[in-house]
Amino acid sequence: MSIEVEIAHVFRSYFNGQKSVKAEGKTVGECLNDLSSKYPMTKNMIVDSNGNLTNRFEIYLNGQSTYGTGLFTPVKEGDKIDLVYIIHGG
Amino acid sequence: MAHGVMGKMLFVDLGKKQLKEETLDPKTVREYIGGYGLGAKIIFERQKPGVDPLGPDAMLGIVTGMLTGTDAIGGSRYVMVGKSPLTGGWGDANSGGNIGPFLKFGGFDAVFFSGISEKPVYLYIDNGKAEIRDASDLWGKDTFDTEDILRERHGKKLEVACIGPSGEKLSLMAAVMNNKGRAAGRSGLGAVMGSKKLKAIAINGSMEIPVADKEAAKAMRKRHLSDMGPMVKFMQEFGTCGMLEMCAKVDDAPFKNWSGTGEGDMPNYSDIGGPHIIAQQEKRYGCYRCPIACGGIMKPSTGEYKWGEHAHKPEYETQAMFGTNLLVNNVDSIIMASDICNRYGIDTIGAGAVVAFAMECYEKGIITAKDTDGIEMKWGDHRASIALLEKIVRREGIGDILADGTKVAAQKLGKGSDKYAMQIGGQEIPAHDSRGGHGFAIAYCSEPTPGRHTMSGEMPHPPGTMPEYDPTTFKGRGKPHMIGSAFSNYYNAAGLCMICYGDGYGKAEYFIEAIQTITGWDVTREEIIKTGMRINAMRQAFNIREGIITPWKFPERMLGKPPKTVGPRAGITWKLEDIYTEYYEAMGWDTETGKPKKETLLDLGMDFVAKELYK
Repeated sequence: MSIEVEIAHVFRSYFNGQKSVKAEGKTVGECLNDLSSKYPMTKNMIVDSNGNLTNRFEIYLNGQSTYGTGLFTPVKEGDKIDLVYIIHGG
Repeated sequence: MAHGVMGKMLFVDLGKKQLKEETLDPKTVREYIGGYGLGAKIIFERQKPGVDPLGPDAMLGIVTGMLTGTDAIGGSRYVMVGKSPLTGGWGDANSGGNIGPFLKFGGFDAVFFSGISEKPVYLYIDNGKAEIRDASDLWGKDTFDTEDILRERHGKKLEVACIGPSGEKLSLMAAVMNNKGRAAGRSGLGAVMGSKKLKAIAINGSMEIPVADKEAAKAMRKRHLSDMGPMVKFMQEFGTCGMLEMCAKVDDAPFKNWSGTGEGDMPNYSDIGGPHIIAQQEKRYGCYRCPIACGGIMKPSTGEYKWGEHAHKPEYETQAMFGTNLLVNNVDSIIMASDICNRYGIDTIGAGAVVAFAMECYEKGIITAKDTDGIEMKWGDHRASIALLEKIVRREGIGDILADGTKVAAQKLGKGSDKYAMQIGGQEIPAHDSRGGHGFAIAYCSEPTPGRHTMSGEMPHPPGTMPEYDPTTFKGRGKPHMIGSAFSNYYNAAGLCMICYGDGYGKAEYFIEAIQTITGWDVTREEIIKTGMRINAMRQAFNIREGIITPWKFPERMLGKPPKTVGPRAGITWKLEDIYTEYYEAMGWDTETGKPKKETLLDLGMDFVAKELYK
């Protein structure tokens, strides 16, 4: 399953400057793991070394938060993932 | 002797012009660390309850932590402490730059002021010696000029913390500033400094901080720098302003004084996103020895707004409060607002919130252009935002009413304007939405300092710090939030930057190692949690003794009453009791009043507090 992941302008340098990238997987978690293998700079950035979503990121699927089902959220062809980075500070 | 600290505090009575040094005992350092932990203990013990925060009996402290100025990554912070004139309770404000480390290099871990000087003064510290100097020539100067004049007088290496005209005029949103753009902005402690006629603290320092193992500390720093977290690159490229588009996309950012949404009110929010700010950045700026350097210095202005030389890059909070919150999509006006606030010394969060409040009051007919000397306070009007800000920082016209924040302004304006004052306990709400942000919601209403985005459990922590929790609910969240809050209290008190702590430390173990290596303590994760809980209880005890009952009350709007109708946070409505109850239970605080229970205080070794609160 090939899913589109939209990359915010501020993160494009992690993804070779691309606006969106393709990720393979049947769930959000599998797609994110695929991303970190294709783009090593993102390793442990979104999903930590224990396989959990870090508390810095919220993942949106087709504009809806995946709170609740999280990394186990199933995806299908044509879906779009957004990576949202929120920290306190500033 | 404790390591990581200079072991000396200075007490300055500005009324009597007396200076007295005291030894900082190692037990206090281990139990209260420094920063607001040490500050709260000292002020709780020495200041009577019920004092006027702007009166002579109020104390004001500048306090460092045992990691400030050391080889720990991000050890650049200091904290201003005292009774907040905004909330009437405990107040603290944290800032980076260089002044924190240099206070220690000047020989002191902390300085506490009391009394009121007859005329404007500044404290000059030179390698262990301190004296009160006349500041009559500095009074009225902005923070940039103040730094420049003092450097000309005492040398280029001088570091300065000072107030600007807003602090002098006792604006309750006034900040203490350093390095021309780093702000200890919250709690209104700039007004406390102004009330004491204390213009600045100026330091020349080259003394060495004693460290348990100097060589090991150097090696540790090198190792930690080689294995930092993956978000460092983002913070280096953009800093916090890079967050805006994402925060706006999920309606975490404020729109239209928190009444709107990105989708419904400002779909073009990307116009003020990080890339547009960075396009105008001349160079990056870093606090003391910071490997990240998330700050920036802007290029000279080429457009309508003429910000001054060395204007700092607006942080996310400033960008959101003067951008999306006002529906302003003009980057230049945001840079200008940031620079005005930095020069006059006023909190950008509070200032942006009060401008939004004025815009909503204008929309509702509570104020008119007659009240604002002709400024039409329409949503999205960047010129109006800057014109009103100029009035606020100078306390001119309606700016005099607005300069004390939205709570005081609503009391003065009446006509139901309190509905539009987006404050909690008197403190303006920062630019993260409590509707949908569970951790923010807990922190805003239940921490000793209300309405703060830099406290508590949802902050970035190194991997391995926080236990797992379900982020979709408040149920089961009490204990994880307590642990996150305890770590936050510890590292804030220790003098670490939250960005370095969260994103710089690749693992929680590195943070623990930094403490062990600098201090020589055999500190464990359990001790960190207990110490963090102690520091939080100390700050809360101050509130309780002042007669403050928490949780702090949210404006109805921030509980989702009525709920948003569009966007990713549509339909969310929360009850206050659902938000904080489990957290207070985990903290051992009374769920009705926020008072730390007697057994909690005794378990934390705070017998002197228990004696005071349970007479």
